[in-house]
Amino acid sequence: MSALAHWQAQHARLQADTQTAPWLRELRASAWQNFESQGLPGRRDEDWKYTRLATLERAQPQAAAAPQAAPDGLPDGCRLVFVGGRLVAPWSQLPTDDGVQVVRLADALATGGDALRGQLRVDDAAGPARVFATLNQALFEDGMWLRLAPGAQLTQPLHIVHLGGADNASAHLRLLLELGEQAEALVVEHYLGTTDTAYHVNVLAQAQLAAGARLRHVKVLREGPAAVHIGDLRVHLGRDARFDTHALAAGGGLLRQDIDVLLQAPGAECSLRGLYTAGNGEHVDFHTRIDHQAPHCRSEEVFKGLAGGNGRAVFNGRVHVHPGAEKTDSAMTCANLLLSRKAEIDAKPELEIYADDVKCSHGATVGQLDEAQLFYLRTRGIDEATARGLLMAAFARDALSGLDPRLEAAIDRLLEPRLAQL
Amino acid sequence: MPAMLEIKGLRVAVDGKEILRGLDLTLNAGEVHAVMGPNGSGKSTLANVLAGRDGYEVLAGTVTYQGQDLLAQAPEERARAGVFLGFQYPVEIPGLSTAVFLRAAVNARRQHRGEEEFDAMDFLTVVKGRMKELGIREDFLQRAINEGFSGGEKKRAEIFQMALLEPELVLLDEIDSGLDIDALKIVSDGINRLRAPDRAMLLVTHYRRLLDYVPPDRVHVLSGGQIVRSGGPELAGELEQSGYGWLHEEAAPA
Repeated sequence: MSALAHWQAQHARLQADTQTAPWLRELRASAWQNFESQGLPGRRDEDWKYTRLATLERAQPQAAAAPQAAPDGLPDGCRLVFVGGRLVAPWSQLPTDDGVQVVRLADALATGGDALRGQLRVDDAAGPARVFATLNQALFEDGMWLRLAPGAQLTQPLHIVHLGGADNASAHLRLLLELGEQAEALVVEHYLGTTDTAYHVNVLAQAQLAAGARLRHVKVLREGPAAVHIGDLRVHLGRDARFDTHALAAGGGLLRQDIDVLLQAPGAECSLRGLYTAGNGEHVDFHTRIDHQAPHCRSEEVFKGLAGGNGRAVFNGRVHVHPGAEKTDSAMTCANLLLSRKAEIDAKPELEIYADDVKCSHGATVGQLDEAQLFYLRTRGIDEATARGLLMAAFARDALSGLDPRLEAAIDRLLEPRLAQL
Repeated sequence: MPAMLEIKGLRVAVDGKEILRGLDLTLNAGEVHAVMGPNGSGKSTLANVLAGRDGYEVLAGTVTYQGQDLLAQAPEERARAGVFLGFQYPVEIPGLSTAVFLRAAVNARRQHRGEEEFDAMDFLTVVKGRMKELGIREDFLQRAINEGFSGGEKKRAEIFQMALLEPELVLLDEIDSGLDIDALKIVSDGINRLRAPDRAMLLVTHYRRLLDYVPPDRVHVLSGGQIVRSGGPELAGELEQSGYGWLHEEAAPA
């Protein structure tokens, strides 16, 4: 059974539930129809040019049994733990800050309020790049809706932990983040693979930031070696709102992450930083798009990539400056290191400007470890393998600079063995 | 006791072109020798081949360090055994903190000598003492290696590393280039402070200036990949007067 047949069965099961509210049934039916008519993107779709989904079409997704207890090493503090796309309430702990509300989507769907219906739009999801958002709309059963009232603050990081490949071979998780005026939050998504079977995770995260709101976001990917993870993050920013993200791809058979940021009102700012790594047999693809729709907005983007073995990495960073978005200030860099002859990295920055008074820069490089730096370290007694490790870590760390200090130690613990493996 | 460094008939090619053409040089413990010569004479090739850089093909000859075949060793093995190269152009390494780098280097050397490795605290104590001696600013350790340093700061950092690693054989490749007079004095003081009976130094330089501050025991003139003259410190003065032009006249067929 292919992925398509698997999804079809999932959809049929959801629609067979007689408890489902009519509006939700309709929403799912329409999304499924939309998905079926589009089909999976193929090589003619520019946004998927370097990322083939043949494995999805061929292989039957498989899951391992759900863990009986929360695995060791999960982040402490406020966290929502999902297994195969469904929340495990006993392993989770909700924040108690004033003005902060965390709603479990499975509960909200069961009660079916109009407020939620308004949040579930994916009408900007047209086109081949967005077909997985449509699929998510048709198949998601659970997730989180985070709401911060104006001026509210999350005092601790909120961790969203997803254990992939357990219990459910194809998980469709939905995250909604709604920050009122001047609200502030730090949200950290962790995707951990629990098995080396071929499972899927398809996450659609949508964030809406009102005037002056600030969202700091981190996404860490460490899926299983045969896993397919499709992530889609869309952020809408109001006046003077600010969005920062750090993405780390540290393992997984096929990882595809889209990040779309819409700077919709003057003074909005975003910073996108990321490090993607592709080891032997792995494929990682980051597609980012920043839309400057209003004047006086700033965007900064730094992505770095490392590929070893026959690993393959793709970066496509697009900045679109719309008519009227004067005084746009935008800078993008993408630097990549190839660690072996068989590794491949395709990095492409794209800049489209339809305004006159703007400051935009972009650049992408693909290279190898610097021989002069390597020699320098070796002349100080540092052996070649250690020297390579130090240089890779130096390269990688730079991509993740500005990370919240509370997260640094955990990221280092993950990064060190990962780099050693490449 | 074997010489600290003995080079015999060394011939080295770079990209198929022979740069060193039969070089002989002996350096004993406690001695400071200067190798002078015009651009393109093979000075930097000599320093690099002794440190083990890739891309230098040894065609013939031997290099013995404390009785051992130096050319058979990887760069890091040479360093641990006590060979230090101070670079003409030290590289910048963004993202790698000087503290992490220096501790790894010092511990590699200590491990080789059978000494216990420093933990982070011990290391800081030792390193800060040395920084004081050389007038190096406190924030140096937190900065990335040589990143954003001026030419003078980079050279001073090289001398500082040398002091920390306590090598037995010091190779300094044009350590004086790009230094103003104040920086030259600081660097020279650092070198002089390390002169010791159990240590040998080879100063590769184009100019006499450095040798006014670090008087050598012997001066060798390198030209066309060979040592064409050797003498006492007075030879450096002669070169200053006449420049390197005479080399070509002497080498020209009669």
